[in-house]
Amino acid sequence: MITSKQENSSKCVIVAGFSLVLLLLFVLAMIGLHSVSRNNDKLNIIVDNQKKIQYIFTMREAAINRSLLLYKMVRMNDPFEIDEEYMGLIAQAARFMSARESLLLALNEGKEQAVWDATKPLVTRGGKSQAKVIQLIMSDRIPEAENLLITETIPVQDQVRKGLGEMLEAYRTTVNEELKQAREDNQTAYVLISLLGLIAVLLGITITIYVSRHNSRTESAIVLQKELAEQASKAKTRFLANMSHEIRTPLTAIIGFSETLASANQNEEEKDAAAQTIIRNSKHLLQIINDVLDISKIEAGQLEVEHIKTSPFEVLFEIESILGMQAREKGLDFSIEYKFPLPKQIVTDPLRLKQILINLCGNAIKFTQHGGINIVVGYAPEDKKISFAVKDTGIGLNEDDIEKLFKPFSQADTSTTRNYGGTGLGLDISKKLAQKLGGEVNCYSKLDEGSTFVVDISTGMSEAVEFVHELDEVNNMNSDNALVDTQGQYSGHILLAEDSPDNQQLVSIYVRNAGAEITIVEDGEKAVEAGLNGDYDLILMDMQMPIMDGAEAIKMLREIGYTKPIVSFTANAMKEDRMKCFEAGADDYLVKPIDIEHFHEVLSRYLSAAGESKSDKFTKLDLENDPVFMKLAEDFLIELPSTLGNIQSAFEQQDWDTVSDISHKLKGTAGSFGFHEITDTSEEINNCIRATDTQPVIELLNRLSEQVNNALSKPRDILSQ
Amino acid sequence: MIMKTTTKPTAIIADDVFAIRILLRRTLETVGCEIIAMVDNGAEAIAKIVSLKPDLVFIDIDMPGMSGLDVLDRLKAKNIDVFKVIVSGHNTIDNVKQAIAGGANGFIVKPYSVSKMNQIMEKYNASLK
Repeated sequence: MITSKQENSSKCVIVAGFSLVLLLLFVLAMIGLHSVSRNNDKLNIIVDNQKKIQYIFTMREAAINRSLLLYKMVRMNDPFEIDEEYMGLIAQAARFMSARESLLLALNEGKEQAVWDATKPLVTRGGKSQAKVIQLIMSDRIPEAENLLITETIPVQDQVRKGLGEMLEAYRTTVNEELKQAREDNQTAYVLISLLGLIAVLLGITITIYVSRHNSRTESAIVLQKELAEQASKAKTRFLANMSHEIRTPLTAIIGFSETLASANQNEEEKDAAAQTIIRNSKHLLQIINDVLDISKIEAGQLEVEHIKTSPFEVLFEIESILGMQAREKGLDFSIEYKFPLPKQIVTDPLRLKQILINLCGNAIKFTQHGGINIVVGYAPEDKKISFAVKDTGIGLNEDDIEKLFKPFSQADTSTTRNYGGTGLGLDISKKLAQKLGGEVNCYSKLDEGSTFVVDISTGMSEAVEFVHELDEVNNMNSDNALVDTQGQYSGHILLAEDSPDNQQLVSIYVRNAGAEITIVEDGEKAVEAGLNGDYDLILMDMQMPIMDGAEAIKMLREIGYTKPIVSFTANAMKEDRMKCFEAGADDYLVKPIDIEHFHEVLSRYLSAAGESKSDKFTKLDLENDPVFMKLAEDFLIELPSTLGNIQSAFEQQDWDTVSDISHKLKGTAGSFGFHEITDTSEEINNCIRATDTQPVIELLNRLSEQVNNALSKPRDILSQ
Repeated sequence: MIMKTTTKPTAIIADDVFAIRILLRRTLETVGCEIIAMVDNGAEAIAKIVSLKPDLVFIDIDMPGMSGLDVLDRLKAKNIDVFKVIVSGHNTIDNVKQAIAGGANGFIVKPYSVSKMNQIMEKYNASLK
């Protein structure tokens, strides 16, 4: 499976690889540019030096030529010939000078300049010496000129030639060195660029391979995930099919027996049996649904348990009363063995503990055909745990089956499901619950020799615990557990907010049987409106309703000052569901499906018993005997006909302002004296005028007139509210 | 100096209909309130609330000009701390929602009854703690 972490890291690798390739290409480009610019510099130097070489070469040639010409001139006698050669001499001088000028301009500061500075005096001396020879020739002192030429000019000229020659050589060497270096540089750059280029290409190839491989790996992971999802979905489908069967079985009984109850002519005994079957199957159905809910909560990690002071004896008495009968009906013994001393109270979740024990004992009864079920209760002081060992003499289990037992959705054998029914969830739930309660469920069994399921849970007691040494010490709660009087009679008015017609009817029957009055609304908004309008002694509010749910309605009522009792209906008895009710502002809660005993218990808490009046604890404003109220009411009624007349004539004159005024006033007053219909109609009229829709007004006025007549005909009604 | 001997909560009534003001006054007196002013419009209600600083104020939702909900908005804007009860001849859920949004502490639907008033006083007393 591919986790997002892996996904991220492979993304990182790809990004890093491409970055590296880009970086390499960038370095390559920089190296290339750098080497080109260096070569350029070198070429410039070479070209410069070549020029200088050219100049020096020219200078040397000119100097040598001049010496040769002078040598020729001293050998000549014809003055014209001498003049001609002299012209040549001047031309050579011009060549020398121009080359020298160029060289001087091209010379670099420093070393080159210094070399020139060293050569310069020689050149000057040579020039001067040549000039002297020319002078002597021109003044026709040929022999002197020849003497000077041979003794001084030519040797000096030789030195000049040598000096310039050295300079030439130096420049040539430099040029050669530069050339050599440029060649070497080029070679290095070439090698470097090829190497880096190769690395970049290799890296690119690697990344491509990596990406394509990674993609195929992701694909295969997706395929794997898909397979797993399909497997899970298949398991769920199997489970649902099984569940559907499990739900259908009790439903078949419920529907079938209900139909026989509704149609056939049955005697009381048969009817009673049918009703009992329906009740039993309904409870079984409820159990299945609760199991599924529990398992989904466990899977979602949302299972919470409570820690309440609980008497283990009470729990066991209840277990005995529930399951003892079941066992005996099947012809099995059912006994509880107490290993005293046992703690009088433990801190645990009694509902969940009962659930575990009911499940274990229920299984024991289910899988036992002969013999009986025995619960052994013990206390281990060293780890402060109380244990309940449920022993049966049933079919037993082999080792492999025991392991399978605690897995969700599975039973020891798939055929077990067919033979014995059940959802296969009970043990899994029990184990998880026991773990939540600080303990464990363990199974010891041998095939055909019966099984023992042991649940041990933490007693949760930190302080000194009171111990019980014999059963007589604890009050036998069994006797207290006698049926609550469901025939109690109460007085009071209940508002029921419930959207399901069936539940509306059921609660109505319960309430009327208990002697109280009931008003029904079908959503939270209507509940708020009704709650504000009437004086109810108790509001029963379903938590799940359309338009506005129960929690919001309760919150709203509490916010605007409704302080009378509100009891909410919730689908679950779990802590979080209850907390939701209490957080909204409910005083109490009832679990759906409604347990009749619990319902009566709640009624007795909030309603007064028939005969006594709970709501009378407040001083009632005795309106009938209040002269101020009576006067006001009388005035209102006396003025009512003329008010009606006024509004009718205003309507005929289309004086809409007056119609609006009167209707507004009527709306505000009529309700206070008990004439709500007049208030309603007046408001409608007022709304029409405001919306400038006067068409329905005539009909509304007729209705108003009727209502006014009614009010006048039975004025005493105003006081009966 | 005259000692104030009463510890009754003080209240102002704002309703445009005279008969209703009288009736509300009777009801409130029955549950132990002292009515220190009665006005017939929203603007005056605000003025009286500012000057007399009552413990509670009962405002009719439907007054000409400034409605009860407008009064709530003004009181909210002025940040005036008073236990505000909206009184209405009609209890549409929208009115209730708007009243709560406007900061109302209570909502009473006519006709008045001692039981309804007692509940409001119960909530008022609880709000003091």
